[in-house]
Amino acid sequence: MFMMDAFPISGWLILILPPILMIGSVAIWYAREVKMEKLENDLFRKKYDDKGL
Amino acid sequence: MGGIGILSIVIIYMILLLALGIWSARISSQGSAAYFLGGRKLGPWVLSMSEKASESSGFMTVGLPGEAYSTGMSAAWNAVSSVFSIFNWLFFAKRIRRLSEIQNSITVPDFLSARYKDDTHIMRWVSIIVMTVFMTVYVCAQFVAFGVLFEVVLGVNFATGVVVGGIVTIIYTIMGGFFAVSLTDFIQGLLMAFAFLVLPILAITELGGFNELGYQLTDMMGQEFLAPFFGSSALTWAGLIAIISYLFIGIGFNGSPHVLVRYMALRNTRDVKRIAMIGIVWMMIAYYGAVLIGLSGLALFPNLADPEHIFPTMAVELFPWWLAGIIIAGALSAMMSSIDSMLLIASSTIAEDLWNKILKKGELREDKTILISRIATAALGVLAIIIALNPLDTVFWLAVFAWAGLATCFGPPIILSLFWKRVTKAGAIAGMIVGPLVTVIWYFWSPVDIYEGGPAFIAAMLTIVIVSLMTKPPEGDDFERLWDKYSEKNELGRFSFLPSDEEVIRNLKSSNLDNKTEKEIIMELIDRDFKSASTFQTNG
Repeated sequence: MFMMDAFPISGWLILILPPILMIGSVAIWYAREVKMEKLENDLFRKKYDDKGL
Repeated sequence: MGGIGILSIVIIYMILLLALGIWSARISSQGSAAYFLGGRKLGPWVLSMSEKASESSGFMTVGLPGEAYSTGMSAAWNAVSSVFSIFNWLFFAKRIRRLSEIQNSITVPDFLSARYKDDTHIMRWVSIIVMTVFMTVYVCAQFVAFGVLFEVVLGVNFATGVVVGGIVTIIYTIMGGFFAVSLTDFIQGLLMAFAFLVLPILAITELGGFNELGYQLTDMMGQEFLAPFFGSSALTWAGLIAIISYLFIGIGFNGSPHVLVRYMALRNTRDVKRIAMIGIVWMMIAYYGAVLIGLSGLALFPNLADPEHIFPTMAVELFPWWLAGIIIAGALSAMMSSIDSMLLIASSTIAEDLWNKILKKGELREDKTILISRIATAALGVLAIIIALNPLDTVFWLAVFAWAGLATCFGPPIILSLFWKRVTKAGAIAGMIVGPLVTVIWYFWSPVDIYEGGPAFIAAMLTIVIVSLMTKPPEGDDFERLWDKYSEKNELGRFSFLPSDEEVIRNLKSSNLDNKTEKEIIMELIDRDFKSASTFQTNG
């Protein structure tokens, strides 16, 4: 079994990889949502101003 | 001081929860939507903590650390099953919130009946039966875990623990409704995160560091214990089956009504991203914390009679009494937050779906609906306490079984209703029956030793698709209007704005200078100037 210090490599991987992948994927999605919401705000403002409300 | 001190902290904590329930009663008495959904006023922090705390249950404080204590690093696959929660946030939460606002649904059966235009109330009946049976089983299992914790840590009689903990939880759920449940869940979620973060750090420090933990466990149990392959140094067929089984437990996130109803209670769809961010960080802390508690606990206390006692044992042995008291309150929180959510969901189904919609044809006054929900909460809670006082040996595993029964009944018809216009009422009803049925059959007569939730979820999905394709597609002006409004997109290819979305953008607009037009900025400055000048005019 491949070891790195006191733990097997597979042990290290399951401790480190899932948190990085899961938090990373949500963070990327969060950033994309923020970007899209800014565009939505502009779109809403355009409609809002066009209606003269 | 130790035992009495811990007991005092637990009592103070319970008094605090009761006070919160009484305080929340003011908001919850404002109508059914306020009682069952907190008036859709809860922010992302409260809803996210509430979602996570109510999902967690005694499994997190009793089960998972115990599992890591006995099976080693393989228990970390439980943390990987969190990926199903990510699916909820990324794909389902916004759509559920959107459809529930368009349909004006306040409970999960309400949501399903409105979406599938079920005038026959078959869906409501199936929901009521499945929720009442499986949720009572689940709540009962939490009460048993409650009694065990009281007995092990505080030296209080098991029955006293079940009754005291049960009554406190029932009272604040009755008083405050969803608002109280979410607020207490928020506190409970923070306490749990604190416990899962601090306990393993202190335990590993006590051992002399992370590497020392690894060396000690290798000496005691062998290298395989620290590999995630269930007692083997490499992946085997049996290991693969076990991994799939662990991952299938995560399916419960996608179908549990007490999780899905939280998306219906969102202020608006934009809160989902914050809930996701808070939720995933909390999950990683809690799940990996629980696994590390089990591993470090084995190195520190190798001769424990019952592995599931490791969490309370470590709290009492490693911490000063006041910190142990807070940690134990965190452990109790995990159970209480699940009990209150389950009780509220089951009682709201009885009051709103059975009493109001079926028996009174939707004409029951809101105060009466809330009263019936409160009576149902008390009745179901007392029933669960009575069953918990004489627990079956398998009651803990029945909790996992109940999780599967609920998820397979509600998950498939809700998920498909969000994405597929063609899904029919007959298909959805068939899936709602097949899911729990396969759960029960697989639990008692399992052909493969795999968690029943997975095969049952797949069977329910396939049933809905097949029956829907064999039956007449949904039609009618009402349905077409509903679907058109739900699936309407704007120029950006995203869902069109609902009133709740428009409100949030308007608020943003009025608080953010960059988003204002020049005319608005000038008008606001003139208005401010006028107000500041008015005080001088009055004095004059």
